[in-house]
Amino acid sequence: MPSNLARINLIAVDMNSEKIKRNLLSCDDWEERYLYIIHLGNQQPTMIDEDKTSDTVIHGCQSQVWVKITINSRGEFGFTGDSDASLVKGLMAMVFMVYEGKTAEAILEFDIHGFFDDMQLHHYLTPTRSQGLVAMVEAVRAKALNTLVVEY
Amino acid sequence: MSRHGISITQVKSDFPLLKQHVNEKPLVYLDSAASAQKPLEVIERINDFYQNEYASVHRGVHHLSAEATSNMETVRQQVCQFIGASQREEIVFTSGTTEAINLVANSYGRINFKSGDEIIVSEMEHHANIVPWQMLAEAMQLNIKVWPVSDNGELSLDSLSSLLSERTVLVAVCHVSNVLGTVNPIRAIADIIDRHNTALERGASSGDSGVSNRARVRFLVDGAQAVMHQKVDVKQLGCDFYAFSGHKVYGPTGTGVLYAKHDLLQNMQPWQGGGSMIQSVDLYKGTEFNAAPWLFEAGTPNITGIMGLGAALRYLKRVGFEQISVHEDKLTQMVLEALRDIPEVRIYGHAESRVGVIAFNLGTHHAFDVGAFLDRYGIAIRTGHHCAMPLMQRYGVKAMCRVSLAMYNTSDDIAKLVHALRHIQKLLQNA
Repeated sequence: MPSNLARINLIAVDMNSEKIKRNLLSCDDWEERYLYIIHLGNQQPTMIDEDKTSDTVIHGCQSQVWVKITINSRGEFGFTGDSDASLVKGLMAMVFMVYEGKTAEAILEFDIHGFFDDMQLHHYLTPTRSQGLVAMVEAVRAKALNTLVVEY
Repeated sequence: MSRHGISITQVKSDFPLLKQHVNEKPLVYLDSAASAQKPLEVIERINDFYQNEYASVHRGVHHLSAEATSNMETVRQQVCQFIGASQREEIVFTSGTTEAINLVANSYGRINFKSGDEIIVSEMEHHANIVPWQMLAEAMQLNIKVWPVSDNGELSLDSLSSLLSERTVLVAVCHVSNVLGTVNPIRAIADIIDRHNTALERGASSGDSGVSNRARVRFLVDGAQAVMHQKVDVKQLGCDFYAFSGHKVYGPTGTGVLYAKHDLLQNMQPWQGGGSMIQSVDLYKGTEFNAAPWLFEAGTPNITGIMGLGAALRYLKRVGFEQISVHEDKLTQMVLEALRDIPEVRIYGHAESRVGVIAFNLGTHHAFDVGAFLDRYGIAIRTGHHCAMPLMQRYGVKAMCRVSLAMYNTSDDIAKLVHALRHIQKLLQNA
């Protein structure tokens, strides 16, 4: 754990968008902020290699991203994922934390762009697909939308 | 330096964008291999053309159109001199290197290649010099042969000789690698191809093989990464085709050049049809085409961009490659030495002949992470696969960091880069 993050509650359980935002904005500077994001990624459960398949890979020019989405009987979404870039993995962890346990409707309603805007990280969600993060968010939203279309 | 020359020490001040701050830090721009910044003269030329001279070319009898046409053709002459072509009719304006290579594939390849023919591409090519050949190979049942890159990041001339066969029709190689910075021995490659062609012709004239109707092996050079660093002379290089982009020689985006030897260009077929590439169009009798090179410039060209390219080439001439290469070589050595001093750095490519395009990774940290941290210090580098995925595979990595130098970089830029890299290494290893 980076020593300069000691003040922040780093236990990444039961995180929600407000907690993440609060933690991130209490960082002293962007350096600390990036390290916090990386830390969130490191706390994510590891994705097993067998799950890193052509079905779960999301291509980006900069880094590789894998996302596996599961939906339980109550229609709640669950996620595992990985990226070879620590920062992308951390950003991905943030997306997972805010989407985890949400239904398709709730995922589609959640303003993910606003969430990243509030944390001054909006440039990571520009539609260049350059780091696979925006493609990942789109994939989750498409899956959510698809669930609803199938239902009705 | 000539009387009207520009000293290398004042170059940076001619680039307005470089004066800005990024993330509250003075910008350190080390991504010129992706695209070079523009000197004020280029920006002013574009502005001036739109404000005072703008009109379409090759069409109107009116004053503005005639002036614009004449000015555009003057730039063609400038480009001709810039790369040492024999005449301006060998210069085709394109939107960039990519379009220039696609033009050769479609206007030369489609006419001259036959099923079973072979194209040799090197392992260090940019996707722009791979994908058009793959597409053509798919359409015409051609075979692509790969010229491997050594651990040092060089191409062995011996292995070219063994790749050339009676079915080879094209060798497509970059002048300078956009990742490794390697300067390839273009003249030596051209000599090998010449000897191969001569041997084939002798064989054909003595009637001992079925090669009598075979096309000669042609040599295409992707010059995108070379033209900003060194004086290029296509006659001396001995290539058949040479392609480059305007935006990498301090000119505007959307401009590019295909040089093709005069005889070749005369016998190529247009790929895109449209306005200004015709002599006459008759719905019943068909179309008579314009002469080369205009035949290959269908539609309204990027006139403004071409004016900007002219300004960029004038600027380059006033600085002069003599100064530029001394300055850039010095900075390249500084970067290499400083990077070698950081134990965690792995540099890719150690070619003897090279320019200031330097690829590396920092420990096991992903290039994206390194680039994202550098960005916060106001330092712009490129990270990723650099549109050269086969080369990434060659080195067994998914991504690299790439620092690329231009004439406006300074030793202060290098000091900031190295300081930041050392700091990032410390931060990330504890993260």
